[in-house]
Amino acid sequence: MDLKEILGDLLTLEVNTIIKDGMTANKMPALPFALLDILAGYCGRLRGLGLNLEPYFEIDRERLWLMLDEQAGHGEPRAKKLVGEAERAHQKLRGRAPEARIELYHYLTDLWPVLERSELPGPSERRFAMDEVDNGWDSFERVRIAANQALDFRSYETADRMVLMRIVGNCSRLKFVVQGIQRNHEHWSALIPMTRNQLLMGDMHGKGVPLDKLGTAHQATVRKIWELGTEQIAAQTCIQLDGDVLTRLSPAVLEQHNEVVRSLIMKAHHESIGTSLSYWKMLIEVVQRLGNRVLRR
Amino acid sequence: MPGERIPIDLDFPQLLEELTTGGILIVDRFPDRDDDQVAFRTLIQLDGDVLCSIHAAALTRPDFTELLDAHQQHVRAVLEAKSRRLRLLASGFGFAFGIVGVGVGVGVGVGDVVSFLQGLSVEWAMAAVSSVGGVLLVAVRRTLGDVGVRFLLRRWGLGQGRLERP
Repeated sequence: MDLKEILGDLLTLEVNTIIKDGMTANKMPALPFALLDILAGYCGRLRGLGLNLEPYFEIDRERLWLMLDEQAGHGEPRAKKLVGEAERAHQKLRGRAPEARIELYHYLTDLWPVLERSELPGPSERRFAMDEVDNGWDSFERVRIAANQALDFRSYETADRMVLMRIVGNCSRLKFVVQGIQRNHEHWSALIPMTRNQLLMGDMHGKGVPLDKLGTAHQATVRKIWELGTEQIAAQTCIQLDGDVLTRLSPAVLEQHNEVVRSLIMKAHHESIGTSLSYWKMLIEVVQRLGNRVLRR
Repeated sequence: MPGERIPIDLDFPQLLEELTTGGILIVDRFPDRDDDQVAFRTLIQLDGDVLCSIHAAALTRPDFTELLDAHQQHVRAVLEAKSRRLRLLASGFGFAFGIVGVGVGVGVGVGDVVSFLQGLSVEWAMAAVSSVGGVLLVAVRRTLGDVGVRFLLRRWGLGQGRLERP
């Protein structure tokens, strides 16, 4: 994260207040586990909404690539475009053509042509097992497509639609974060893509999480997504430096509670806005102090 | 009334980690529960975004307002402590710019210095500067004691030079 990015982010503050049925003081675990936590939360929510995820996870990545490459070979326009883009991206980053075409898999931006279903899958013989899901970029892509198709084919309550839309958006962001890690940093291969059991069984000694290779903005993104989970946001306020303030309230959450509790939620939200503004002011003061000291010398 | 004096906390790496990677997490438990559940959980990120999670069970308690006030007080106290360290860090930056100035004065090319600084990401620059600043401050503290450090803090315009437990 460069200074420009930090200052750019400081121009908009976002305050979220959420109500959780249960929470502990646990900090976010190391990135490979945090990614699995996020996936587990999203998969759990999608299954709770009656979605069968197994068809989206049953095809392994080698077969997915072969299917997509074959589709491209037959001239399917979307597959052809995706494979062409992957070839160009590989050439640009590596400066050469791939030794094996499967290397292009990590340069794909979309798996929609091979994972899309003509209708939402019904119950399948084989049950979806979360412990077989790994933390690779394509796991986020599979969940993204499943949630997207759920939105396309079924009607949900507004609150559930909002959560589904958040799952789609966050999986989209995480897909590119993890894909960037996988294709640019060889030393992550011992940690991504791995299932939880593989991580736990593997000798983790000497396999410290090389967080220095993950951009600060990406770390903050993962942290926020992990923290938010799949809970509904009761209140959200966005404050822009030009003076615009936008507050959104969730009718679903507010309707669940009586007037007294609603006012308590709003009180907590207002307090958090105060915290955000104080923190922002403190950062600006530090920048100002730094500027003054540099200019004084 | 002055509070209990505490040692000057120079744990810049922790501060940097909190600021740049995860954010500052502040939690408060239920006063009368033995389990691992917490009533409030506030995450403050570097860009100023705040995420406040409230346990549903806290909302139904008659003492919710008191619990919330206590949590907000906790959040303010933690932020105040972090801001002191951050200001100190900013002074470290100022100090480093001074060193750069001396470097330029003794013949190091301006272009070299600028390109070196441009090549550093913010976190690495902060870490490098804070390490230098931290080592120097520890050395100064060992030599001059807390009184000397407080004098320097005042001299640098870093508040009252008195660190109190909130």
